[in-house]
Amino acid sequence: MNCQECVERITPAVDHYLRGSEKVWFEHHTLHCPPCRQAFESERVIKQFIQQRLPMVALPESLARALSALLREGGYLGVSRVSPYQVVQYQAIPH
Amino acid sequence: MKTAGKTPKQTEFETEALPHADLLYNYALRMTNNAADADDLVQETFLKAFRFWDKYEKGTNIRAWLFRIMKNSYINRYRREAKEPDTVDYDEIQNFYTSIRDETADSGGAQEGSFDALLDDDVATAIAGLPEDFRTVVILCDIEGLTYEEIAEFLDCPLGTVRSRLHRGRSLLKVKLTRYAKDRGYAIEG
Ligand SMILES: [Zn+2]
Repeated sequence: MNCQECVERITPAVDHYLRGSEKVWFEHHTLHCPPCRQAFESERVIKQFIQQRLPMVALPESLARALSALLREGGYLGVSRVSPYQVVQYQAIPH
Repeated sequence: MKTAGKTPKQTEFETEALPHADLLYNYALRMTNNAADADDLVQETFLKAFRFWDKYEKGTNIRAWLFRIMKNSYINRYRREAKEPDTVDYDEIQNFYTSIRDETADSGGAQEGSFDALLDDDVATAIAGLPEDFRTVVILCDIEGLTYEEIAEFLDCPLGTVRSRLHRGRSLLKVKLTRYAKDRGYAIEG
């Protein structure tokens, strides 16, 4: 594999898609080629950084309630949106 | 638990569609970088999905179906941005491999710890500032953890496009984050 073939595989390598001989080859090449290694490391670091800083957030409670309300009413009452007032009302209903 | 008072449609929708609210909310939140807008988009998406539930082909990828509804809603709301010509594809792919090394040279390699001092808000802002196509794949892959295959299905595009946009998106993000870090005097040159 040359550098061209290596850079084509950087993104899938970062996402752990390489398998078998392709993976072995990639690891061998990057071990011996500093520019390719740097390009790989750089992309890997960015992905890791995003994952650390912006993990999935939980659905806000108020939104979950609004969705249930939409489901209850939206289909046949024809409301286009649940108003904040309605959401407050639903909030007050004990489950 | 009895589902008294619910129509079969409601029950079905609740079981099949609602569990994907997390996926949609996180996508909307990172696309808009605004919790209230994300809230609106998710509600609009589910309302439309519920109304058109009979159009959903059972057994097909429900997440892809919901995602496309949300994407349309997003485009309708943010039409100005959506009018950016969608011609990136050719150049994108043509230049993809030749530019990788240049980009790396330009911004210096990102190293572990380079961006430690940045705030989470900086990161969210940087992502929200990416061109829409790149932002989408970065969010779906790096934040939501979807596979290339599923992203390709969501976007109805080839795997190679997912891969090249992902690469380009991450590269642009690296440039942005490096700039933020430098502006704030956090990062050392190189
Ligand atoms: Zn090389």
